[in-house]
Amino acid sequence: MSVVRPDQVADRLAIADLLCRYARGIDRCDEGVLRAVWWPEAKADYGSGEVDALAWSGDVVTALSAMRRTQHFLGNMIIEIDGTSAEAETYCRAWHEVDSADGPQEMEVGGRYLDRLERRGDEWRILHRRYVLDWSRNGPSTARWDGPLYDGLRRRGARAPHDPSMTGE
Amino acid sequence: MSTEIDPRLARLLDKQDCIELVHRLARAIDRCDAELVRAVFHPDATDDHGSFKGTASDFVPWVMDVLAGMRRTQHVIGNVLVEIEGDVAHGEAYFIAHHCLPGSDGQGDSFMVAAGRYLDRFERRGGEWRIAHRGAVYDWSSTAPSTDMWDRAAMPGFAFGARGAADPSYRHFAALPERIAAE
Repeated sequence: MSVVRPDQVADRLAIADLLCRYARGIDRCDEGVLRAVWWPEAKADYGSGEVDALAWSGDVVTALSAMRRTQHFLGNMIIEIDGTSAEAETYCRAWHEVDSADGPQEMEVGGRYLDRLERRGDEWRILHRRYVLDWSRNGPSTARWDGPLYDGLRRRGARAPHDPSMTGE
Repeated sequence: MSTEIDPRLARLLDKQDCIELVHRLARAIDRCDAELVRAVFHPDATDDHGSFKGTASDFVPWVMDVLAGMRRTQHVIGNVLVEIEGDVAHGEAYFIAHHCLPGSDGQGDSFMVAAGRYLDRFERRGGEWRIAHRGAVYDWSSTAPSTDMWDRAAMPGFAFGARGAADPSYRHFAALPERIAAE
């Protein structure tokens, strides 16, 4: 069993932060935030082959923008650090609401990110990512935005630059 | 540890060790890896899952049997609160556990979500934190016919979660061999 070492605290926090910034980049459709998680030569394989991660970042923001909304909920992180490289496994429960001919649909996907990360100077970024699919749940959307409870909860997530975290609304 | 470290940093390290035990146990369960389950418990640890109450060493075969009746699981851990008191710590870890269950008598699969909290007692013995007791508290659940749409056999390029060493995470972590070998 590995033990968390004092000299790795800053590295672990930086890696956890980086993983959270990925989710933020995706959910806010913020290509700048998303691109900044990868090293320039980074590769990503989400299941349809290994691709250039920076090029993918642009494409995925376009694809995500066509969806109504997403939330990438990150959970468990196992991070193994060895000097300037690290391996991480991060659980993710990704919720998507998309339009279809039959009305809005919910797609929820449980999976894991298997990342190889590298520190260059003071900065950690992802060098390689493989995405593993565990389960999915699909069906007509049950999202409600109006009614007795929701009428009082008007501040809603949005894509950059309209999200309350950016507008200060 | 030869050099004195800031007590706040020491507390952070202790908390992180405890959180990591929770994450490792979730991984061990989802991969149906009995050895990894044992590795997070002290030899005399106990477990109370409601439907199981007993020693951790008896919990292992029990849970492996339960898991064998399911197609796949994912135990997502959220908020983890850890209070450290010397060599003992108490944790509350929120979980959302997803289970795909085979249908009986020709029925389709069902998808069961159970959410709750793990109330753990961690103990540091010989410098190493492990779980001394785990209790599971259940908060809510939802069950419905499975709506998973993936035809796994027809999607060769995709990486799907698996039980045991077939899961991609084993090869992934093996890239840092000296660390994993220590487990």
